[in-house]
Amino acid sequence: MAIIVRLDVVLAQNKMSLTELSDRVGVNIKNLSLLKKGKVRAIRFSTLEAICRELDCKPGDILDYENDG
Amino acid sequence: MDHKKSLIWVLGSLTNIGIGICGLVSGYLAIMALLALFGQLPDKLAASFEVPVHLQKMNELYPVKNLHEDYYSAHIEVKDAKLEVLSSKKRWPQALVYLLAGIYVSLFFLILVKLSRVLKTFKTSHPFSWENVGHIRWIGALLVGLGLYEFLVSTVVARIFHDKFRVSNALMLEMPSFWDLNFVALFAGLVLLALSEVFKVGAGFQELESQTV
Repeated sequence: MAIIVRLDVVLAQNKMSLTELSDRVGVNIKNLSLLKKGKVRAIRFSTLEAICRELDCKPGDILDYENDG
Repeated sequence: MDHKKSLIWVLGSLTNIGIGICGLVSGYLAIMALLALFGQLPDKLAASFEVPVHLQKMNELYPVKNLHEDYYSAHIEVKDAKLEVLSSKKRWPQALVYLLAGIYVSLFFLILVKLSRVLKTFKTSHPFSWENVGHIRWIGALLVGLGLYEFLVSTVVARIFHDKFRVSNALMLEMPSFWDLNFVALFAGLVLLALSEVFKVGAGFQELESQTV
């Protein structure tokens, strides 16, 4: 997959657990776990905004792109 | 219970009653087919089932045509009309009629089972699922099949039993024409096939939605 999710790295940098982030952004922990593993097909701007707000980061810190070719 | 849930509950209950009735009737017809095949069917009962296929009102005695010695008569009452049926001494035509009728009812049974599964998803999960696409496509195909099957069976049965009925006051068997096709079933089937494509698109959107955080 070309889009890499680096949520685990940003969470570690902020010393925050997935459960805490889930409570803060109001997104189901199951869905956040899937996002962390990169097993989702899309992410809402509202979710991305809430995550960036709580982790004090930019979307580019969470999402990265790697060229497969 | 809100209005939508009540409606689905009523539809679900009616569907389940229909499934029960169709199941019982299919079983009854299968047993009758076997009884007919082994020559255990009472003559009046055997004759009575030949009647409901393409009947028309007649005011005078319909003359017997091409009476064959393989057939004998049995008197039965259909509503206000007296009907003299020349029932086959052969076993297979009776068994065939029961079998064809059994298949006909089984098609209804299958349609109702699929409909019940679709209704269940309205209660438990989202209706736009890949399972429902399959169910609705099946219902459409079965309705088209039902329309064609009715016509086919009418033709086959009329061919087998034509000229073997002596009718007083009311009824005779006629060969079906193109206009005897069940256009309502065919049209409903085609609409449902088209609707299944709509559900296919919906299922795709639903899948994307469920995989979006």
